[in-house]
Amino acid sequence: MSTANATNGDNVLKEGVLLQLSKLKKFFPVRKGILKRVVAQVKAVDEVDMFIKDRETLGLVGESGCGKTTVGRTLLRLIEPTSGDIYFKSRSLANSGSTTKEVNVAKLGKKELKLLRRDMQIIFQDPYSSLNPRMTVGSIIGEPLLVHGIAKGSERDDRVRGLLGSVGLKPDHMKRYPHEFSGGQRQRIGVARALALSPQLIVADEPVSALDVSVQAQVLNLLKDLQGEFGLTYLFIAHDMAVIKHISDRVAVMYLGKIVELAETGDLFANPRHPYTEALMSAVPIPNPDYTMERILLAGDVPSPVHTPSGCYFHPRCQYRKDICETDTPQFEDVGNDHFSLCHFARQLKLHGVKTR
Amino acid sequence: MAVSQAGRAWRKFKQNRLSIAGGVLFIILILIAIFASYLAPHDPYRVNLRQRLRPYSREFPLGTDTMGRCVLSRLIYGSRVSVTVGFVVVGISIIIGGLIGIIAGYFGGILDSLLMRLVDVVIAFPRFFLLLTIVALFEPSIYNVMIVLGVTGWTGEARIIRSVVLSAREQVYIEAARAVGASNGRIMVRHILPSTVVVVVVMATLGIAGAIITEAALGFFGLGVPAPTPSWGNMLFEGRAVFRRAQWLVIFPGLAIFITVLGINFLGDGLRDALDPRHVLKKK
Repeated sequence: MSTANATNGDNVLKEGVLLQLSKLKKFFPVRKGILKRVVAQVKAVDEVDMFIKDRETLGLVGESGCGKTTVGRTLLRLIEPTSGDIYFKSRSLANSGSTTKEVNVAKLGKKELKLLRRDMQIIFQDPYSSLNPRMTVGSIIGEPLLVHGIAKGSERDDRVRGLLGSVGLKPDHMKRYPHEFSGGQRQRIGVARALALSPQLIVADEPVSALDVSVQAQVLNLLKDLQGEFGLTYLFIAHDMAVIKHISDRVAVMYLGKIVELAETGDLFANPRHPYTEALMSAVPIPNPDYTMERILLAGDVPSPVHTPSGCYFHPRCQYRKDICETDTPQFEDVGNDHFSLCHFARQLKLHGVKTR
Repeated sequence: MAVSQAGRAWRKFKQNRLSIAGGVLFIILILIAIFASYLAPHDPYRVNLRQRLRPYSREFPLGTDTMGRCVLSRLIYGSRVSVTVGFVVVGISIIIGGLIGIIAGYFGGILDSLLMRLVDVVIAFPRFFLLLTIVALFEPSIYNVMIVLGVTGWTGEARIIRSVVLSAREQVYIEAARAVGASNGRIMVRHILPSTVVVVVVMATLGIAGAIITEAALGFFGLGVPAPTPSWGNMLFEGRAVFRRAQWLVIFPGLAIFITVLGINFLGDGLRDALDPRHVLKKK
């Protein structure tokens, strides 16, 4: 247990904070030639700082390829981080006598990691490929219980029936195969599997973007209901601003492997403090025919995460850029009210958010 | 496997008359091998020198050999050798090849490179001459033949199973199993192994035919199953010397091998067309 406690007793996490990422990095090497020499690094996650409060939903938005999925996988250690720390108040690794224990997930050993799986789970984007087509729904949802030796035989079946019930499926569905279900039902099966170990944190990796719009709302509301019922904390990864606004308490905006802004949902939508967030907001459709949108069209493409720009990563596409943006890396700072921004001019700029109707 | 998938495969298989015939033939062969002692009209070992090299007659439907033994009975008993060799050799190949293929495909990296180079080395060995050497060094017996064929014959299996595993391990449900805390062993057995079943079934079928041919070839060189145990290979070997006087000694074992191997190959082809999802879109 010594490796788990890298903090030497001083806790990093503040009261009410469940998880904190500190300078988290994940670089994927680009190899070339017969000798497989590393010729470059893809900076998928580049010094991410972020925290999630207990029982909140933190939305993580960004365009494709910005690294939001990698953040989710890395904090679960499904992908090994290159460097950085992941502090987490774990229930399963707690010593007897205390309810939780602060651990650094990035430094956990194999055994501890398996115990940690009980506290952190994931819901996948694609409800088709994330369920083994050769297993019955019962054995898919029951697998976590089996692997962790929590319940066996008829007790396990009872637990699975209960889980099916809480995600709105029928108990007799457990003997069926995934292909007999619709996309929305399959996603419910994925949710039930994530719930099986009664985790504290669920990373929901675009859980509704593969679903039909009419079904999206059902699954979102299910997730909200379950959060209240089981006291869950969500890291909700999505690229749809409407979905994010609906479900999140706070929102983190990601661009090119970095969190550029982190704030409470209402605050972020009304007063963005980063030019990239402003551009994202301007793309949100407003259901009002009299409203004329001033859409900010970003020039150029997202720079390659292999050859990242100097200074601020956003400067080549930023309409407010000054000389300093090309040379100096901005700091991720609190500009007031726990509103963090990665911009040299976060305090000065007057940016437009989404006007409330 | 899901019911509808199996149902669709069966429908597809039924369309192919040749493979149905092959399958029926294969089942008949297995039944003959099992019930040889009831089906054979004579004792295949009973020597009767007064009845040497008799052509077809009512008593001996396929004639007698150089020692007056009933050819039909010997053919029937000989099927036991073919079936046993076929199944055991394929069993050994699939166990070794499957293990190596799964480990190489699942773990990848250096382990994968090392194991695949090992496969290259084994393939580079001239298999038949290795067989001849080993069988010549040790006494020829059915066990030696089976072990040698099995131990040198797993390379194709290893390569194909590895390729199946390589694609299977990238599935999201594998990552889901890992997220839930399943061990590597459990993931391999519970999630990856089932996806290899289809290719294994097809390969096993075709492998049985290959093993039967190889055993017959060894027998033909007098290095297979030793006399007096009848096998189709050594019957050919014994009949070769008196071919001009008694053609039936060569024709019938030859036909038995030919029909069996052809039948099993048709069955294998049919199974592949029916089971392999890549063949699903092929117009029939």
